[in-house]
Amino acid sequence: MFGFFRRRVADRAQAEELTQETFLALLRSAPHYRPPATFRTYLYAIGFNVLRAYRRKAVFRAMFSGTNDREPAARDSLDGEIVLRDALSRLERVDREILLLREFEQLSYAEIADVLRLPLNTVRSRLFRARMALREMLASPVREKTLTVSAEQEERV
Amino acid sequence: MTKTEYCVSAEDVMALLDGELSAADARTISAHVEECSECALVVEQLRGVSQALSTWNVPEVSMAVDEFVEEQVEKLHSRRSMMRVRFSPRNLFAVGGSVAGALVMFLLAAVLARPHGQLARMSVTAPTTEERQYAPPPARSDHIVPEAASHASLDAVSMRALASFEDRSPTTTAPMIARRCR
Repeated sequence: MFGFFRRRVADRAQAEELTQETFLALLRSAPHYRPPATFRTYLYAIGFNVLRAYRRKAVFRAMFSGTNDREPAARDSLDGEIVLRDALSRLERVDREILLLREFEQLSYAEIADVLRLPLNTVRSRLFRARMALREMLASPVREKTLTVSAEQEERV
Repeated sequence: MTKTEYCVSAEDVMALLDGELSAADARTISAHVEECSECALVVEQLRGVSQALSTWNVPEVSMAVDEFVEEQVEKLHSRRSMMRVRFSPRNLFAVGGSVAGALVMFLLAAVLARPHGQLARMSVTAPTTEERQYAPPPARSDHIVPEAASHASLDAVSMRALASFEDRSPTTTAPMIARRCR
């Protein structure tokens, strides 16, 4: 679960806090769990609710503080991670979530459809589209450009 | 990347790699991919993406989070076990038994107390000639509180019983009762 948040929220401490919050929510809602839904689907559905609440708060904070702390750059991130984060951030939000759930959480198409409440065929077509788009982004010269930009950013920090 | 670019759907090739096809479909697509260079290229591209993503490792979560979660689970377990003790069927049976026992005792007490009550009611509703003689007039009896009335009738009964034993006339005791009732 920590990995789920760590890949979606750049700040490690924040990811840990969200992990704790998810487990608390899971424990509280355990009596409502119904076996037909797989446990993983249930867990990630809670995770997404926690993440959505966090993002809403972040947008709200940014509105009033005037700063954009939506996705703060992680200082301890590796170059490869920065490149991937950057490439993934350029994908459409739903496509990105489908791709991450498949690649890192190893959810089946049906489970992803359950968690994101999408038709199975939509999951399949969007997953293919996301993979192909990511491949192009990683293969194109943008990669070098991104690496240079991220190195400059780190120097400035 | 549409279906027309490949002999079979590229999405089917992806589903094959993800293990999302039925056994029959997997055999068909797999056999095709072995012969089709375009589909083999799709396989290579998809594997490349997965490989690139697999390099993104996330470090282990800190011990504090683990400990926090374990602590919460422990708390929940202890709370649930307490609830189980409090509302276990065995306890409910014991409580139910006690309530039933108390009810039986109450009914028994009511049944045993019944003859006295009836007697008292009889003496109030149907006074003897002696009582009628010394009883207060009806207008005044309205002022007597029910409790006092029942005491008076009980006293009358006990006095009568005493008189029958001691061979004393009830007329000597009756005025006392009437006075008390007023």
